[in-house]
Amino acid sequence: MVIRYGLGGAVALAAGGVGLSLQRTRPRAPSRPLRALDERTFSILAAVADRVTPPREGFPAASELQVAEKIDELLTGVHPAVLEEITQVLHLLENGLAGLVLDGRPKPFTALSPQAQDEALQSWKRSRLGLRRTAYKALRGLCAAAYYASPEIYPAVGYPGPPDFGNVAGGPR
Amino acid sequence: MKGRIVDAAALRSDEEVRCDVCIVGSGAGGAVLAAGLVERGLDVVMLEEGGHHTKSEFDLQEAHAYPMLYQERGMRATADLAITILQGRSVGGSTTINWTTCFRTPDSIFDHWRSVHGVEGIDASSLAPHFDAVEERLSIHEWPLELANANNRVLLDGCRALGWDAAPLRRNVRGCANSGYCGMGCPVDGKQSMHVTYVPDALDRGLSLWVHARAERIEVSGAKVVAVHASPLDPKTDRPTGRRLVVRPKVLVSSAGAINGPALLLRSGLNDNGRVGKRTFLHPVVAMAAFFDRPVNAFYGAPQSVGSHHFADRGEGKIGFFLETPPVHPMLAATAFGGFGQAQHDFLARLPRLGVLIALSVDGLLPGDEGGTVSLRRDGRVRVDYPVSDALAESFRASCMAMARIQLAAGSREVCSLHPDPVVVRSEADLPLLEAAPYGPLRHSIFTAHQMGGCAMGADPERSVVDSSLRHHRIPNLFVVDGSVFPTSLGVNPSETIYALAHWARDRVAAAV
Repeated sequence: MVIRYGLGGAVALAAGGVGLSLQRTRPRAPSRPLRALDERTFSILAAVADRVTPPREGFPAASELQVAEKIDELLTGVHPAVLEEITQVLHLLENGLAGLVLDGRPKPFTALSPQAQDEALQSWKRSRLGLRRTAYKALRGLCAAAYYASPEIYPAVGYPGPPDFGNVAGGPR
Repeated sequence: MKGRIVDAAALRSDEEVRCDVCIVGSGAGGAVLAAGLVERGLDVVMLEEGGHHTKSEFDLQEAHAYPMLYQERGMRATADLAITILQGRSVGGSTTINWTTCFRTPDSIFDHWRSVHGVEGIDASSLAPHFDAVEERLSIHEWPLELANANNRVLLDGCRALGWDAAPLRRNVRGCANSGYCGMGCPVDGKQSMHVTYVPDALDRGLSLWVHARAERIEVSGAKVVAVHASPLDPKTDRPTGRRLVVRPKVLVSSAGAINGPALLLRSGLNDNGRVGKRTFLHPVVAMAAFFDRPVNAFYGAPQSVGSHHFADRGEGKIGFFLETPPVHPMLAATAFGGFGQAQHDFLARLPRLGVLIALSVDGLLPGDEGGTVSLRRDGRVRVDYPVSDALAESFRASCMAMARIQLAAGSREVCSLHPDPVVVRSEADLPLLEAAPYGPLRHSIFTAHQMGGCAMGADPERSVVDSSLRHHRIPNLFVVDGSVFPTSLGVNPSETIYALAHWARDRVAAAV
């Protein structure tokens, strides 16, 4: 629930490297037709979601919970400029050239090992650049919110779920 | 029911409406005002950009509630994303999703408004009958301590162990099920939100309530409002349908809240003195998490039953804070946690033993504390900026230290800050770690649930937007009736002050028709 505006500076950084990425984004097939994001952006987002909420006992993979698809759905209801900003932040993360210049990382995010992806996210989380911390917060917030709002994870966190007041046809989903 | 609810999204052609009073917004200010105006026989049109959502849609799932009931689908934030802005957006405004805590305005705040901002005639005694009236209608009363959940007991017991003040809170509930889901829309209509109280009262007497209708621009001719231009919104995309809705009232009232209200005036070019959107206050919130050996189950039970104002006044040169508790559901907890990966799973996996306290900083009272700013982006979207001053960062630090001590005193052996790399405090001996941690934007989670200011009332037309009767300094048929008129924050949850102020404003607005 966290993302929003104000990523303009990050966007400028991303624009510098567009088209100069050293490798192509590793594609991820959405489980249904996309409604807001394009396929490349979706693939990057899905890769981020995998690392924000990695699978472990009781915690299904983000892809299994369709975290990136849920974010795609949420983004159908935001201002087009917000969608554009999120897209550009994801492209910035993916951008191999920017990675090379700023972090010595020449590969696109989607081509990195899971461990290297975690290191990339950590470096944004702890960056001295406020813009990178903003971008980290945006992407982490979106992925974490979509994942932990999924009833499938309630057992793993010990949450019995909301009580049923019979309000909604079929009870709580 | 003499009135009606009209879905602007369904308009097939442009529409023009005339009325005595048009109110923009259906929250704590607009609803109380509307009920009083229709009672006085006036013809009132209300515009609400959100939908009319009722308990039949409240399935208490975070995935549904936040996009449906909050501004920007739950994603409103300051421009740097440092502060998450929780603000309602449906019929009832934030009253549909607030956590029910009610306070009368502190006397010290009224005194400050009079002495520093020249506010006249608004004080504890002039508002007393209005507080009485809204307390009666909204069933505002003290919540019994024996019903407090374990998370609230942490605050109470921890404060008592330390010799600090803490007290039960008053809530606007009638037939509360104590479920803990106030923030997702009350499932039993126990919370006396506007959409189950003053809005139906107003509809009974003839209110026309337009939903999915966003007020875009106020049209002024000379020194008089002649129309407000609204865009019907498609609820699926939240984008304008392309139809136009024009309301031509004798008097226009902005009750659109402290962010959208100033934005409406700015879009309308009504900012002669440059004060619109200035001095925006947020009661910026920091939180501390604590794990207990016993179950806390802070996802259940009234989220706020206990509060502490022990640190509300910390003396000269310091920003005070007050302490309350949030509901702890999985998504909200995950949002507050700053890390990712296995650390985040480790945190969430212990949800039933997790208690959380929040500290709300009382902004706007220190000399020179100008708070934040509401402005417009080039594409017309609203923008909120909120710099964190050294004094506020100091308040955050002191807040986190106080909360950790309370949680330790209540028996926690693992208190965690909400820094992206959390500071863990296992005993008082670890407190220096927390003291040494960084405080400020994007250094830890910050929230706001109380948006105030931006259209300040005051005596000086150069330094404020409306006068002490809530009337625009230059435009006599324009009023602002919501939390945006506060010249400072309140130091208490603001809903009841807004209810009472709107109740008090009824005669003033009616007299202007």
